[in-house]
Amino acid sequence: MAAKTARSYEVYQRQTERDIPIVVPPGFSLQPDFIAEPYATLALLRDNYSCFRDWDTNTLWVTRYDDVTSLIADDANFGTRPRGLSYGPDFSGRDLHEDPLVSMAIASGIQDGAPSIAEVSLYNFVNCAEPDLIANFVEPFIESLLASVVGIHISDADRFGTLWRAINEGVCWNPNREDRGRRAITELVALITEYLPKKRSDPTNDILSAAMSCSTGGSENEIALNVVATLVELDLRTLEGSLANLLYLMMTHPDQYELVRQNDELVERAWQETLRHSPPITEVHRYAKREVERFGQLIPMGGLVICSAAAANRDPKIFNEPDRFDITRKDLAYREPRGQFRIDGLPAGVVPGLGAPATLPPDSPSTYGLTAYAAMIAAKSVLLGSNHFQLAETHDHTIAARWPEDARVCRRLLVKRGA
Amino acid sequence: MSDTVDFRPLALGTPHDMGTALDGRPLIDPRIFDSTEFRRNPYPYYRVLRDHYPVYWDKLHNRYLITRYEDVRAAYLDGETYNTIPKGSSNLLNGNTILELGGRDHARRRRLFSTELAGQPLEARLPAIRRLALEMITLAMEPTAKEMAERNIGGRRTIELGRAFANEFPIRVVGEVLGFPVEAQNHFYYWYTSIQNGRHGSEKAREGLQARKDLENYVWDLVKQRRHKPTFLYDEDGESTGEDMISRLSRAKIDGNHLSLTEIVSMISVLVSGGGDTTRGAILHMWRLLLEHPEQLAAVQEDPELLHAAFHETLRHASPVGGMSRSTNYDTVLHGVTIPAGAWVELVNFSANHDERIFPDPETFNIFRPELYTGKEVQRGYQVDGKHSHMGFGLGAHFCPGAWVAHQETVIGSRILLEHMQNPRLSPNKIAADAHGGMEPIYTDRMSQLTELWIDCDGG
Repeated sequence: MAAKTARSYEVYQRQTERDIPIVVPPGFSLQPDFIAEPYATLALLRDNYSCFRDWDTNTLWVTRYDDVTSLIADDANFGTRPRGLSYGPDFSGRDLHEDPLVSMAIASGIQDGAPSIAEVSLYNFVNCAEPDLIANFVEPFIESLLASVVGIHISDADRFGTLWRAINEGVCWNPNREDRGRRAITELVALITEYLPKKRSDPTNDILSAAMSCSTGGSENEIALNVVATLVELDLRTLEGSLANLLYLMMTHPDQYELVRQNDELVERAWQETLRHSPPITEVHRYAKREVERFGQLIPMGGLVICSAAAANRDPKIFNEPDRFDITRKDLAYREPRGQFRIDGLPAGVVPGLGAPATLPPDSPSTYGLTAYAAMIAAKSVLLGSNHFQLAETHDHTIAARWPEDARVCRRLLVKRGA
Repeated sequence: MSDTVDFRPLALGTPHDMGTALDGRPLIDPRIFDSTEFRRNPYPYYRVLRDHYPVYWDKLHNRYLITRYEDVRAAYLDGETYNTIPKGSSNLLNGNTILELGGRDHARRRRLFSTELAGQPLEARLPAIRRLALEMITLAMEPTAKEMAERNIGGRRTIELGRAFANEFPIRVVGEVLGFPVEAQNHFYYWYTSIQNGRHGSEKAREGLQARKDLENYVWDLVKQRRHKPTFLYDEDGESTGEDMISRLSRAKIDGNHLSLTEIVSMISVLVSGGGDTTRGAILHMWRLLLEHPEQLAAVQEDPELLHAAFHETLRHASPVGGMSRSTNYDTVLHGVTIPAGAWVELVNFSANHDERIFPDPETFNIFRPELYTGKEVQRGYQVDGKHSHMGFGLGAHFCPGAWVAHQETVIGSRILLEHMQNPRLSPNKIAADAHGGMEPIYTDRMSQLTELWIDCDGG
């Protein structure tokens, strides 16, 4: 909320030749070629502008590694807005994911459930007709894991997964998706409501039971809405996307895959390098809490700054040969999701979507820790087992986004059993 | 609906069907705003917004659109919540302008020139404007050498109203009002077009920047001279009517200091861009609409005083300026939508002017519209006895300071055109058909307009 004063003065900002956006056209982020392959344009931005004002989309783009990390860490001046806001005022669910009971349920649900779910998912994949690692391994793994964390029975996991996906995709500028998301919310609320009486009489260790305990007095509809709101905030796009991209990069870099097979400790390095090389969520949105002058530019109050993780993670000042996928690279340390930490002088990749490290309760793992754990479990089960997968000959898919602000992930990965 | 869209041109007045929401409202895909279809046919989409989303949150462009007349009006008048245009948005080539100022800082800078653009000072300049228009139109209507050779004098002639008159006339009026020396006026037209074409990061921005530097160098010399030795404007009888605008700006002091050169240039730059394309658009649009409605043209020919009403109805029906943006100072709630502090809000004049809540049957051009106020421009708008002013000039503190000049220019110029063109009519074979087979619609994107207007007439 702004101070109750109407500012009438102007901070004079003289624009010079270097500010004239000829290098990158206004509205570039909506163009199909940028959506398909953003790195060339991002490099132009990074080389030419510390902060690029795009008038067509009313955004400010920050692309250099040091700027992105410092801005993400600057909680005093820049804030996020809840994803659920996108659904407007009718969507009244309360996000509970920072509630101790709920966050405990999430943590233990992931830790307890991931190994067996990964095993089952792999078994189903090996025995299914279409060898698509994404549709038949990654997606079912994520959906079953989430269903089990929420407390939905495995028989409803498919339906739950479809609704959850529609709701998350509805957090979007596209009103058609938003509308589909709204319909999915109604359906998911109905599905959850069916479960509540049972959870009330026989509580288990999951989000539904935790949500009931911390929403005392609320109607079933309210509790269900709160669970939906929690799921919108707890979006697993980074987990799912990083897993998909990791598998893709492993399949397309057989030499590095071989290294991983020889040394299973490298799986985590491979995952970290995936997040650097091809982060599924390419940008973090931050809103200026007040008028701030940064990067030689006046950022107005409420200004939307797009911190491009994709650009920062390929900043040649930080990473050697940044476009190369190299799981043995020496210049990447990965510890903190917010990226501002550097270990032993090494930079960390910037990964949006993991959220701030959880503070409650102190001994439970952070969002980053949980994401890394689940990703490792799933990746190891596919990459290290006795099934040695290779890219199928006819494969022509890649890592791409489908529309502006979409996640940049591999959506189809056809493989065959190797020798 | 798929994730790729193809907004093919439709018949004017019909919107693309983009699906229906859960609550039955038609959906609006924000990609429509970037489409050619929207630029040629915006009104049906605005109607959907007005009826179903009076505050539309366009997440793709990170802005909010306010589209109903009463809401737009209230926002213009509430300079506290809806502050100035977003800081920096007029920055690129015009420099920082008074559009970005609010309150006292805005008022005392605006006063430096706004008083010159209305009332008595303007009255004194009308003869000069009339003379200029007469000169240009006479020249344009003169038979060319070819026509002389073909002995076509007094026969059918075809003119392009933009090139013949409307492109340059408003700029020359601004040059006149500013007090630019006659010899500089050709340069002035070049500077203006370069700065204008180079706005908002187009390919031509570099040329625009060069033009701005040239303009600065030129104005710097003028400012130095006139700060010590002001020049004056004279009326028909050779009586001085006061200092010209550059002299006034050069000599004006705020808090005891002269304005800086950059500020003066920015002010000139915004005056010129505010007074150029807009008035050009008003003249071309008015003529196009009158020619398309011969019975109304006949009425105007019968009684040229009706040109005032025609001017107002043109700005209502096809204003050259689409709207203005504002940034919000506070979180504010309108029609159930929370607009957060610091948001970019578009006040859509086009839509307000076609709001059937105020102007019934808004897509019809009708200079006799009883609910339209057609008198002298009023800064706070006019809302008396069921009559409403159009929104073409905005409202409130940032109301177009040149509104009255534009009005006078258009009416004076058109009166002379009426006298010089016998039996004017649209030139059918010179007008390119648009994609839908009809005539190119009046372009209504922000600040764009008809590219040209070909008229056949019998020589005068």
